Amino acid sequence: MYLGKYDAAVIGLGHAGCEAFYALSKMGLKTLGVTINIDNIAQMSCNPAIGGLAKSQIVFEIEAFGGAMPLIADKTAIQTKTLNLRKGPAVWSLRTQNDKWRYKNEMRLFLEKCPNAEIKQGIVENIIFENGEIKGISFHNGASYECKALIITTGTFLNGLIHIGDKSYEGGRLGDPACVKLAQQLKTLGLKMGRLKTGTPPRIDKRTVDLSKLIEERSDETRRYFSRRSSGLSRVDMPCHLVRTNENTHKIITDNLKYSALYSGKISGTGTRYCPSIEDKLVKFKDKESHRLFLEPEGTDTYETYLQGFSMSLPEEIQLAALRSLPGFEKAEMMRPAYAIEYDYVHPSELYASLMTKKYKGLFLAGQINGTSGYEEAAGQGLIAGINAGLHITGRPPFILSRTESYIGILIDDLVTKDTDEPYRMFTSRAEFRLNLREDNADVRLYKYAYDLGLIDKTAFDAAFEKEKISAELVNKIKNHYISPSFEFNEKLAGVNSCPITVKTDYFKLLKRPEINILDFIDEYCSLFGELGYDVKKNDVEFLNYFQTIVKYDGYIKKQQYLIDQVKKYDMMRIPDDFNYDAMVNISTEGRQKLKQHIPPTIGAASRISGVSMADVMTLFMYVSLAGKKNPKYDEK
Amino acid sequence: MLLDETIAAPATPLNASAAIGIIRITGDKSADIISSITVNKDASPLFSGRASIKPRYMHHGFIIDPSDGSKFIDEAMVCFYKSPFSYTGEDMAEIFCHGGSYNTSRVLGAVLARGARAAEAGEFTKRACVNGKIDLCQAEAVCDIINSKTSVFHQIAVSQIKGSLSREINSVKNELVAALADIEANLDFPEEDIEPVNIAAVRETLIRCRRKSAALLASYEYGRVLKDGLKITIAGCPNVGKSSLFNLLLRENRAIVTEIPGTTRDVIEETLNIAGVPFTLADTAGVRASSDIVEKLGIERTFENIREADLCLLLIDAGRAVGDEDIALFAETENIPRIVIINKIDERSANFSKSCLPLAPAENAIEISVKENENIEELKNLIIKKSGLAAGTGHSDRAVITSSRHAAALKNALASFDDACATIDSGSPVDLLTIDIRSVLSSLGEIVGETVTDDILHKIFEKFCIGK
Repeated sequence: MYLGKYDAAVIGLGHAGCEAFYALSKMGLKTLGVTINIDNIAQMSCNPAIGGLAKSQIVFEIEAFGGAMPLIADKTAIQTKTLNLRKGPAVWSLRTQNDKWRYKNEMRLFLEKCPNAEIKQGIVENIIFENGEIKGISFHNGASYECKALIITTGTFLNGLIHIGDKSYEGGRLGDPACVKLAQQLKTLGLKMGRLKTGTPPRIDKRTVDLSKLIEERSDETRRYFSRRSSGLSRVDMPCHLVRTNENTHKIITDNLKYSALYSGKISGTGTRYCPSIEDKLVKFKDKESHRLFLEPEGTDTYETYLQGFSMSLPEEIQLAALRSLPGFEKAEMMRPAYAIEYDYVHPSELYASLMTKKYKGLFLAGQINGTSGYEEAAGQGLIAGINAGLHITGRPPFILSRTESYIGILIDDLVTKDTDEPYRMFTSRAEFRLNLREDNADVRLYKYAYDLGLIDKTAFDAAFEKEKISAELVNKIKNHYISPSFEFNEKLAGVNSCPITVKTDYFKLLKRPEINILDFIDEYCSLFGELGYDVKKNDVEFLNYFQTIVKYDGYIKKQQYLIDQVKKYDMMRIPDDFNYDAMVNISTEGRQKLKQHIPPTIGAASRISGVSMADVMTLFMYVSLAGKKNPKYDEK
Repeated sequence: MLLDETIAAPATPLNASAAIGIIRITGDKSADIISSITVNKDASPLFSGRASIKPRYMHHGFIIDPSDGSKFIDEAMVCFYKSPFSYTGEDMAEIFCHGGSYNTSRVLGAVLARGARAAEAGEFTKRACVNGKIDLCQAEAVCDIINSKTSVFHQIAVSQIKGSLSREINSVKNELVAALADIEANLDFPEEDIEPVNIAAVRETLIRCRRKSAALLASYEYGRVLKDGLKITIAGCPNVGKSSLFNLLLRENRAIVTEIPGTTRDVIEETLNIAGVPFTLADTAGVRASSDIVEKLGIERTFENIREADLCLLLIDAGRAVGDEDIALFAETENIPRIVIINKIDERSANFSKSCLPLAPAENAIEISVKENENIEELKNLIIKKSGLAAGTGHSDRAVITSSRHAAALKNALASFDDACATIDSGSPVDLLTIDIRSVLSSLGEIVGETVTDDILHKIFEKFCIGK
């Protein structure tokens, strides 16, 4: 007997669950969101920040699909900063410090306003199957709800075990219960599972720290936004503070390693190299005299601050001693201790690139349950899982983003083709075609998909369409318009350390000079755009930066585009599920073994498996072509 | 990826003195390539693009030198096959030019200069197979035949790839990955304690790695020899038994043998296989002063052939005294690896004395009798040894490029090295530099076949202490 009937249900309303919930609702599906604690929707369990390198690119991609994270991050930001401004635009990354409480409140309100969707608090203990397909879910209190698709986004909650020194507690997060029954059921479903570990640093009462001994870090002068829906918000500037560990700190920690849950052998899960605990840093990099720590505010209505870089699993008294060894922290008080958490995850090789499990139709997984770390990585997966659950219910083919067009595509492709044994974090260096995967062009890359899926409206579609069209036209037109040498202009060039011009020079060539920034020559360029009949506002910095990037990196972008086209083609060539790798002759033993282990869905995916040589790929291609599936479409059935 | 490339290969053996040489091209660029290298007699283009070429039709024209469009290399017939109506199912072209190793190679060179890559053994067949033109069994049969012909070569190739070649490529790769890791760490972790990238040092690394890669590419010439066979020239005075030895080594009566001096007038080349190693064996006209125009021309070609040889078998007749012409041939072959063979030891003359031979210090002469089949096995062993290909020894310590695919990959790597240096010199941001370094790595990866991204991340986290 079901209490309600839904198209889809989402278990867990963290960063993954929120985007999945949003996408399903926006696609017009009747959606149920279940959370263990309705007051902790979109809780930032770790650092109070969104974005940063590679992660910001994901947030901009979510924005292209009209998702929740970029909007809420802008709304609740208390500091904003663009990292890497001195490097190329492909690695510019916006990061906001956020008010944790406002973030979750705003997100909760956003979800509550989603049409056709409901949020319920409860612990899901059982997934109900009928003939191997999702039928519904039932809660700890016995209530059951019917659904055709289910997305599980339980983060660190599956069999979560918290460690502080020699003490351990069951819990999904400090203060919230773990999901134990659901973890048990997933195991019985035959999904390959493993155990991971992550940690979070102590939270400090800011009033007990002598901030004058720390280095202050402020917001950028100019405010940038993740979301085009956010324009007009004013600059926010709550400072962060930099502090460094010293010899004394290191001694306290290394002398007490035996009490660390991580080093006493209590923790069996694999930690990430990407966010190491302070114990790990000291053990692996013995010679490093000092490590940087950042004190980040958790919100405007609290003195609680987050000490980035100081995650550990030592007993509380040792945490406190180590903390007080830091300059300015002599009298520091902890409001919450650091802790490590172990949790179950499902090996992502159990999933299709749609994030549906290969074994159970209609069952999708997203976020930390798939072995990732980070809010943005979780949100990106949640969005894709939500979209694909929607497509699945309505009988449409899955939506797969290619790694050539998005970080989300890279994330999912890496997960499902390579699997992971440690928490996976996104880096720009994971992108083969980083130059094309920028913040400034995320909308142009993805708007057509978003519109077709019904996730963005005509206005957003038109905005991206115009941006793409106008910039392409202008790039060509400015090649035929010239600036003549003049004393004034050459003076201006000298002002930015650029060589004077001696002959008339076209605007394109000029902008290609690495030292020329369009914003320094805004009058010249905007008046030319005006003459050409384009109304480009001088303060439309986002457009101007986008335009300048395509001009400056024209040659490189073309070079990459060629490679991208190649990759795309091979990513379209599907390898049949029942393909017999043993039937191939002329293939290396290692290549065969790796292929059998990974079962890549496409020739493109096969080529990215370590240990599979190009010659192996060619042989594979030959056999697959012969198997009669010429130019097959990427589909899952 | 490599499946899209346009490839070319001679369809007739390069080293036979055939009347016609046929070069086959397959792939999307076939039409462009033949259009770019052919002209009419008046130097006007023979074709103007793919659509203008009548398929399956013999077109008469001239092949032009790719580096100097005004020079004709050869007169030829060209035939174009439009996809899918061709052997491979792709666009294909065949050029019928004049035969002989030199000429056909030059025409092939022109095709390669216009963007085709030299095909690997069996590659045409593979494509025919992929495009459903022939079935897998047929394809494998073809490939087996091609492979078996060069079994020793294949073993060498395999051991090379496993050993020294991948070692050298990997050493270059490791240096580049380390440099890239520094740059990537700077890009991905701007707020961590990481030294800024030393661009000058990166540039030095690039130059050093480029040099190593260029050296590897240079070994392709040797690798090609390994694959196509060393050139062995039999030389000597008239009637010392050159053609008899030629026939004996080939185990067939290929050259005409008479007792009349000067019977062999021209160079005859045949492919020979000793213990699985391929050779091109040439029989030449005997060297002597002659007034016969034809014989004189033949002798000129003998000298030409000697100069091109990888190994010279210098034959001396033990049935008579050593003459001035023998001595002259010693001088002629001084700088070429050679084996001095004293033949007709069954008819040894009292006037013959080994001490009259101007043998280099430590040089030995092998004594044989072609007629009595004496010491021929020893001669064969000596040839193998002299060629540096004796099993388990020879060049196995040196990395050699034998595959055109690998050569093409190295060429691309060199171009990307140059791009990388240009990017540095132009003062562009380092994230652009990573594109060039990554293309080098991906080209090298086509040889050693490994993914790069994981290597870089591994390096970053090994080297730098990073994380929240």
